Amino acid sequence: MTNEGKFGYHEAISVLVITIVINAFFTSPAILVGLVGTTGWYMTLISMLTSMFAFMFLYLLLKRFPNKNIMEISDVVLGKLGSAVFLLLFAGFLLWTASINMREFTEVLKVYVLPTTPPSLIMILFLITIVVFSFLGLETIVRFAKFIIYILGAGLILVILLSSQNFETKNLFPILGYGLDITLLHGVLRSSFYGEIVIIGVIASSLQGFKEIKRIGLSSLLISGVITSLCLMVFTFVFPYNVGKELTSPMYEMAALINYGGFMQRMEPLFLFLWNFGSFIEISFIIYTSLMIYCHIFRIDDKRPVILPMVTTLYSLSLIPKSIIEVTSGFVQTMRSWGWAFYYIPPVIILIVALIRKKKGESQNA
Amino acid sequence: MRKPILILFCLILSFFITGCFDSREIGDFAYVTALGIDQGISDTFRLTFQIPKFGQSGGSSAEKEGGGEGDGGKNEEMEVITLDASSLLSAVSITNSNLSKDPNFMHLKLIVISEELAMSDMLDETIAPLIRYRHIRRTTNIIVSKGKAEEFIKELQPYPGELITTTLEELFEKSKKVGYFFNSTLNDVYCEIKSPYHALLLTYGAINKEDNLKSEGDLFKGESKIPGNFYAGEVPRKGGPKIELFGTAVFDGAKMTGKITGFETQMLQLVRGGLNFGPFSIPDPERPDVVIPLDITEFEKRDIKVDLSGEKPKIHVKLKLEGDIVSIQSGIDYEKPERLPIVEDAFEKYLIKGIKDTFEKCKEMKADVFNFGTTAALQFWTIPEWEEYNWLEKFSQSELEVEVDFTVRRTGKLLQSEPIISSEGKE
Repeated sequence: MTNEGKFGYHEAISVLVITIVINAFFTSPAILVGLVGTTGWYMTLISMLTSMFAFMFLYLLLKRFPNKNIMEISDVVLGKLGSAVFLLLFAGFLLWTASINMREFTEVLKVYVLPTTPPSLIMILFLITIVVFSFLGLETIVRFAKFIIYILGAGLILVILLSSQNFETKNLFPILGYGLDITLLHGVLRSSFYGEIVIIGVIASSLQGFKEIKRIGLSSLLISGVITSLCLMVFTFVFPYNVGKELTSPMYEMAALINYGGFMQRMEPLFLFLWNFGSFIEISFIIYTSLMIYCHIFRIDDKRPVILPMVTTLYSLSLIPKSIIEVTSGFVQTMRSWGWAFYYIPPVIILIVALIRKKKGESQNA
Repeated sequence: MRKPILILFCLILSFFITGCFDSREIGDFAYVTALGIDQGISDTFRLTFQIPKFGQSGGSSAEKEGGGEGDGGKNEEMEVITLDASSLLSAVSITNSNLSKDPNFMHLKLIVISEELAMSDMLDETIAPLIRYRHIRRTTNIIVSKGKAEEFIKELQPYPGELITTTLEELFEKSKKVGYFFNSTLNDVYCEIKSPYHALLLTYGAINKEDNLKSEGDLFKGESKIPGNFYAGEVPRKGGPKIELFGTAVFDGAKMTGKITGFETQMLQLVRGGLNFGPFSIPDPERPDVVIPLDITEFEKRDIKVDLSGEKPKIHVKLKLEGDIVSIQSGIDYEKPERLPIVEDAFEKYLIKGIKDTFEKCKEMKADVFNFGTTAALQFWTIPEWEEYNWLEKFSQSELEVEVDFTVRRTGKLLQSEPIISSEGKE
């Protein structure tokens, strides 16, 4: 199998943070406001804590099988057939997630920026980038993520600072939104927002041991949680709860409201930059991990012949939703509310089976 | 072999990104800078588009004699198109069939709706849906015009030597400097007609027909009037632009229920925080026929408290201001330390009365124009509790207490006033 190379703490955190946070720039915040009202900013911290808890099971599993990724662990614990079924489901789910994210990106781009461009053309141009990234491999994706995260971070901070002219901090009140119970419930359910953290299990072999994995996982979740919470908070400052839930892309709308007179207005292209690069990395990373799992299942050493079929499948899946409404209130909503079952339950099942069958890695103290 | 394939691939890729097949040049569009909406006669709405002619003269009327033609209907630098249609989109398509350029709203700076339309409860059908329209920005300003929006648009002209877009941007900036009108945008309309916190306010504008500046009659005598206590179209002046923005239209939900004057707008802006500095003139405490102009600045952030424990909400506002005396028309020596409090007290009373009067007027309109609702909401834990309380309904029963603390910091370029000496001695 092709060697994916090794990369460090910063690269892994960069790619995971971008993959998670980019979802906050699309339709999710508006749906969230519809569910919990003014409490989105701390609801997401509840989701983050839930994800941290769920991530610890994955960490325990990876600790039990040092220097192995989730695919290899699955083979050992579930047997080849069981593992193949399990991994196929997981790879399929990741592919589906990538397709929904890509369609969401295309639809939002079409609404705000490219209204006359056919969606298929936007997708094809997007897919060409993914193909290039996939041919260059995992190491290139994560190193590019590390390079671009500073620029994306600066862009986001700039948008937030410039938007401060429209802040009304009292929009955060009533502080408990539609009720603490509703916030807590959705906080736990929508931990799927951070679900991509489990990809760490797929790329585990490229990381520097299980201690590093724990550090990377928790740091990525913490950074993503803080950034997402900040985004949701500033968006609530600008749009009261009764209006925030109606917007297609609240963060983009927020950037479009920046107006400091004749010389400082129409700042949304800045946000466009965040959208494009963030989405390129997110979808490339998810697709590549899906590719890694698929190649593992069928013992394919060279991933290159599989890239084009995989990307074609991604394109076809992206065309399934009929409209933006079906994407946002159907697919994305389902993914955010129930995705946790696919992200967090499998590592727990494997861990339990490993404990029952007393399966262990070669050296636990490595 | 790989390299030539890669180069070929990149070359092919370039065909996708040129956008030649549907490229649009800047000159392909007719940029609508102002849009007027009235109630229609042959269809639901009467829409008026103002399209500047961006030609050799640079789109401004600088080259025209004085920038204005006297006859508002003959604004030769602007094309004004009016038509009846059921919606903006249908109006655009109809216009498009007769216009060589495509109407484009990317640079739309102003939407004008007639007072008649605003009072007819149709705002949610006319303005609110525009927010969905991709070209129209949420930062577009909105005005309620006295009379027809169509007439208002016709009289809308750029300042000599400027583009109309610059003139409009600069005009709305004046709201922060003088506070005589409220600067409202499309985003405000959309957020506030649905807001459980406060009422919607829109800039009030009108055409000044110059008939308020009387040239005949008795000379003015008595106590000087409160500056700015009138509505747009009533300012006693001659010359300058035909249109003027003065006062604010007040809404309950999506229906205009009344309007407040320029002075009352200043009062509400002081409480809302939209006017952090500005000029005020108070009647001289010892000679009310003349005034003392003051330049005031907010010294500390205003403090607003809302007590909901009783049956009626009790609102307490505390303003801390400082300012400079710009002039003393009476020549009375208020600069002396022992006499400065006379001016300070007079200004404090002037503001308290102004704010209370504005509050009472808005209570009758059932409109929380002061944005007290956002402070009241702090006392509720959940949205259902807050919505059940129905602040907008309770506001009309509320009571207001105002406290103003004003300090004169400077007295302008004069430290003291000496009396005028005539043949009769010192005055």
